Amino acid sequence: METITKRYPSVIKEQAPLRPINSPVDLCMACGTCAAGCPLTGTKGFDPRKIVRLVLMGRDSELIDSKLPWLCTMCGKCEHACPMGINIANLIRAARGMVEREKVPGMIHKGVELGLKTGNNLGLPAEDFVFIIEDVGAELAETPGFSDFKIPVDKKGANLLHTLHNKLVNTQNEDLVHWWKIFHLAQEDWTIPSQNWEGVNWGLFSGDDDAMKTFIGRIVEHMEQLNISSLMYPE
Amino acid sequence: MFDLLVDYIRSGRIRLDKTKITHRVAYHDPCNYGRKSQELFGHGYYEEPRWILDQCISDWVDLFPAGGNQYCCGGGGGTLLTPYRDERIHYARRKMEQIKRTGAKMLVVPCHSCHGQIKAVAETYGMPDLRVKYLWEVVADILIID
Amino acid sequence: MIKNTKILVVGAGISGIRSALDLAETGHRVCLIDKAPAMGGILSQLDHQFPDNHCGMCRMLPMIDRDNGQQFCLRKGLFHENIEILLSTEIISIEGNAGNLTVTISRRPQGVDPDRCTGCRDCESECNIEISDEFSAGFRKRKAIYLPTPHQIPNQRVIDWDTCSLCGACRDACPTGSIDLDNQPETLVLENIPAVIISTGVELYDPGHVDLYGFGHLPNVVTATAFERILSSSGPYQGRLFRPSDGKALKKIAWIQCVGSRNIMIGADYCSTACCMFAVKEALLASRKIGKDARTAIFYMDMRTFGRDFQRYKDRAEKDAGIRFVRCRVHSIEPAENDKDILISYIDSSGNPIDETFDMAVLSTGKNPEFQLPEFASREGVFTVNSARGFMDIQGAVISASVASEKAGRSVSKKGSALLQQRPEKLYFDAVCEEKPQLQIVLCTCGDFLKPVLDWDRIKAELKNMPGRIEIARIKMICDQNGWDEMIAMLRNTTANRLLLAACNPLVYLPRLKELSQETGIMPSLMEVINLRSMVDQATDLAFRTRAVLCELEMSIRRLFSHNPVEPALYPVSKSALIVGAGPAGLTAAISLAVRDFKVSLVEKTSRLGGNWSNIQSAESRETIRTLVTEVENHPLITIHSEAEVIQSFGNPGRFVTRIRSNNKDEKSLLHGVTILATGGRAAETTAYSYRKNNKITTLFELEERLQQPDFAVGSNATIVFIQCVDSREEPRNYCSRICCLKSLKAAITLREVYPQSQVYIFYRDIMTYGNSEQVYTQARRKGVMFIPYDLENKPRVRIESGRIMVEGSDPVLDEPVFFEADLVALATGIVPNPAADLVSIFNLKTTCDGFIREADSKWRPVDTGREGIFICGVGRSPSRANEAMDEGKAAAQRALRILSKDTMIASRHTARVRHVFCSLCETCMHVCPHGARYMDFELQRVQVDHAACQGCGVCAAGCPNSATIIESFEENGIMGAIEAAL
Repeated sequence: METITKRYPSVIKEQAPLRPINSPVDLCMACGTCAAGCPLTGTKGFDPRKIVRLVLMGRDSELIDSKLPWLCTMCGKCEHACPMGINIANLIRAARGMVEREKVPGMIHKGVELGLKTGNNLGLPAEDFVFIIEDVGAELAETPGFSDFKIPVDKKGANLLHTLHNKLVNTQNEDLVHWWKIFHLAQEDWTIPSQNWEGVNWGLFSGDDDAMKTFIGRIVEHMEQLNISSLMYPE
Repeated sequence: MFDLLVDYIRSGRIRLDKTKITHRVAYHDPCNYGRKSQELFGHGYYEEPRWILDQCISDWVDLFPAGGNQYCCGGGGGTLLTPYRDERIHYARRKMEQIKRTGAKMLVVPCHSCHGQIKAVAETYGMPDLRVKYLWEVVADILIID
Repeated sequence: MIKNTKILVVGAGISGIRSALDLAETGHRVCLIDKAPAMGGILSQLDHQFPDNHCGMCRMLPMIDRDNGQQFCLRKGLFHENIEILLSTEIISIEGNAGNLTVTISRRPQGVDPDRCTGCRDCESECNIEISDEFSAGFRKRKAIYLPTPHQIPNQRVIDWDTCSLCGACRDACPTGSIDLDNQPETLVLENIPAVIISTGVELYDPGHVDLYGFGHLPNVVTATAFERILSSSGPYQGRLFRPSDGKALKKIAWIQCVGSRNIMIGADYCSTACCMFAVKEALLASRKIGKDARTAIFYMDMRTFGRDFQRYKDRAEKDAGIRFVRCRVHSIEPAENDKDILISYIDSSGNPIDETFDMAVLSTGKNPEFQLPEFASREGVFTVNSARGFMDIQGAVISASVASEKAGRSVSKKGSALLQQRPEKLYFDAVCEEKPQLQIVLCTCGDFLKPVLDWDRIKAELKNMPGRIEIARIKMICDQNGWDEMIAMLRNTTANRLLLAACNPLVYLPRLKELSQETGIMPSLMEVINLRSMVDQATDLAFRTRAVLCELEMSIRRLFSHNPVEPALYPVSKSALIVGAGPAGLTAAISLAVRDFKVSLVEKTSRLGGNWSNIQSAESRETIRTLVTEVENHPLITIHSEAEVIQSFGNPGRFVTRIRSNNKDEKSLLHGVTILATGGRAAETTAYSYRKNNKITTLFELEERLQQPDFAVGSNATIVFIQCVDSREEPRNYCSRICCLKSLKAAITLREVYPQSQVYIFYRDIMTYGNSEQVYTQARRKGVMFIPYDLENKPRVRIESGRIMVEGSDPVLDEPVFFEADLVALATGIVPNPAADLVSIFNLKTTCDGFIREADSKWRPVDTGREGIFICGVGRSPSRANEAMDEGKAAAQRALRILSKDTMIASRHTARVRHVFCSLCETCMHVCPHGARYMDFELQRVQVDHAACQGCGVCAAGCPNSATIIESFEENGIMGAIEAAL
């Protein structure tokens, strides 16, 4: 005996913030634009049109339980041409957010947890961090034209707060200096925080709005403490 | 970030030596600074990086499609942090074909995810020598030091 | 200020021309303006039209009173004595009240005096400005002084002031001094304008506005209009299919539908209606031109083949020409690896991603969503043609133009039949057959140009030697007013009864021959114009030139001398109409004619008005129809014959006699000038999908009916399934009924609103919400109606299991089966025409294979039949929605008014004549006549020609085994004589 098809009230669409025009998934014409434009269509069952259709049928759990949301880069190319303005990327993100945290694949949620606990996704203590950047800074000071270079850490009243992508601190130290050179020559009044210097927000990836807000909140708090007016956030 | 660089260059706070980079360079628009920024903040950063490139490099080219309809490199949305490596590499094929077709020796990106992804897959797509640089790295490389 | 009682028609595209001709043919004076420097609108760029893939625009030309207008290709230009045409002219404002408007227009000078320009192009070669040519969609360059369309007559250049640098080079180069560089626009205030018709058309969407299609970046991505130029033999590659980037012969072409349409993100919540068939037509033409290597594909969302003959055309395109139809909206277009071909990524019917390269992509661009009508379009007394509101196919545009002319004409007549201006006209000429032929030749010397290039002494001498009485006069320039006046003065004093004008382009002079005949009394059919200039331009040697001119002159002389016209009999018009069928279309037509003071006999088969069709109407249309019925019942000029049928009819346009039988016994003869058939249709029956086996399986029409009932109820959690295209759009009933999709959508919306917990599914093949009805489709989805596409190989199945209704199907999007237990199933069975075989044979008409009455031409003459004076409208002709049927009723009435507004039917110059002495009454001519202009006069035992309906095409003459038929002006003697002279 076949199972009777039933359409259940949709869940995810309520959570996807609306685009400039009020466009819930219901408006989908199944025209195929999104699937035609996505480089991932057909890979391991990924197909944005099918994802929208699942949500339209109210079969959200099938989507949430699959790895499909994690294959998507949420780049938004599909919805760029969607004639009905359906916000597919936000749909994906909402689905990611509904996955039980321990089931979040890869390092994303681990990074979030570390970030929440320590202020950066690597879980690096402040003294280690300061040591690394000061070491790289000292190296730069040996380069001609930068002899008076010094890293301003936690400088009160600076003009610009500089946060860092954790990978530069972790494995790609050589890429730290580019901005520093520019700041130096531009005679910018800048500073790097010794705590909460994390410049990427993996809450965005994991669909974790609360974590995202916490990370942002810490940086803002920091800026207020140090009385800094501008922020440079690499992502 | 773009605004800061534009401000530094325009106000003369930094000066650049445009003769330093002579080979062809291609530019890739990251989703976050383009489509996403357009959607969330009402402004996509398409003009600014191109203006900066004009100040830095004489032979830089756009990929097609660029701007709002560009292809994602495949490394966005945290996919660099998931175990789905094969899918991620597959995703990049369009972008990598485009880069190859331009004949550029260097790709400039203003995004850490794109940087990581393209560096990681370049060899798979037959471009082991492709150099991938941050936009600010290009600027830092050609700063005129008095 | 200009006091003026002309109706103003704004926009000289297909709709504007139709409106202007409609009004001109019913005796109104019209001023037709267009902001472009040439007429024809977008259709001037299109050579081929569905369904026969030819042009056919000329079929809109007047077919009665033909001599009042031109008789040549309408794309070349338009002439009608009641129509004044102002080009490069725009409306600035409209003030005043309905019936008495003051219109301010601004007219830019064209820069070149049309009376002097000889089309020599010296100006163009001198002009040093070069820009992309709009007409050829940018495939060619043009100068700032240029020919807006290549086929126009006269082929006079105009100056594009926006790009002209006013350097004066063209002026200095012009040999006839016809260029004036004063570019100041002239503002004219037109007072007492009785009505204005807006037929400006819509703007096309510019695909360069979005970054999706590479338009403007990839040279091998073109718009459908540009592709039409590639197809054209006057196009950039002389009709061969090459592509712009590298001239490679095209083989693989993709059409991308819905570019700029059906996209709420750009404010385009509408379907542009015409693009689907436009693309099928282009793909078909391209496939034929390319031959067996052609590989064409159309990427679409819904193939909107909603017209009567569209589905079969599309099926032929798919099966016979191998055009691939791919159901996928294309995301974007990219360059292929070689950078010349283009790459299209799409998903196939199973959802597999496919990357395919094509030689070229054609974008089916629709209406520009930013386009808006000017504010004055909504004024009272201003009538807007529907095709100025949204994109339309030709048939729709032509019908809506006639609707606007009907409204404008009605408002002007103010319930009186008096037309604005009855023109005094000399209809009868002296019986020249009694006189000896005498010929006046007028030779135009084109200023001093022709004097040195011809041997005038020899011409004179040779002409003198020709037999017959010939007078010769030379005039310096007939085209300017002085020359013209000089000629008129001379002709007034001549006794000649034939005139030969040797000047330049005859098409320029033909419109003025009527004026000339009114002034001089020479019959128009005894005048000829030949082109002296072109002969002179072609030959280089004086003796040869002179010989060529003499040869041409002699040919005309021979024709004119041997032509001996007979005055055809004229007859009065019966000022009344017979309308068969009292549905929405027939009722509307009846009112349209009655308010213009014409008597109407309305014959209805059933006992009540409103039509059998009122059963399949929605609530709001029913209200409209009820009002219409009351109006008809109370109109003193309308006589209703209910339970009546037509049993016999004969006669000619303006004079029909029809016998009707009422209540199966009383017979009566009606004399009427025109006949309108509005026989309507009814719901189709079906046995599919277990219909009637369970009372929860109904037709869509029954469901609509039930939804109106106060006791209608389904469970609040009900599952309701609609199935579209039941027995439709497949043989034998292979057409779209046009009304079902909209009805299902509306019913589904109602159900979702009343039962928010219900599940509503619609199985469909293509949703046919063309035009603004697309919004209803959008609304239905917004309301949570679920749409499941199916194709003919994969229809849903309905079965009943112990009283439960089970619907099985598959969802191609998820590629999964779906299975519903339905509380209600609605079958969209569509409509069929009412049987009309008897009527069709009584009126000698034709039907389609589905039993719809066939029109004369589905695009250009949609409400005419093959017989002049007999018109069709409504569902009897083609499936249509109620408002469309009523529009057709108005359009048919407007066509009928051309005859009813005349007192006498007037024959045209070139018509057939039977030499009864040779006639064997074989009736071949009657069978072959495409205009139904021949009939047997049983009293006289003769085959007669209806000179009003005859178009002088000559098919009868060719078919006659005894050469009994001749065409006036083309008699054997004259033609043979001309050929002899030419040898």
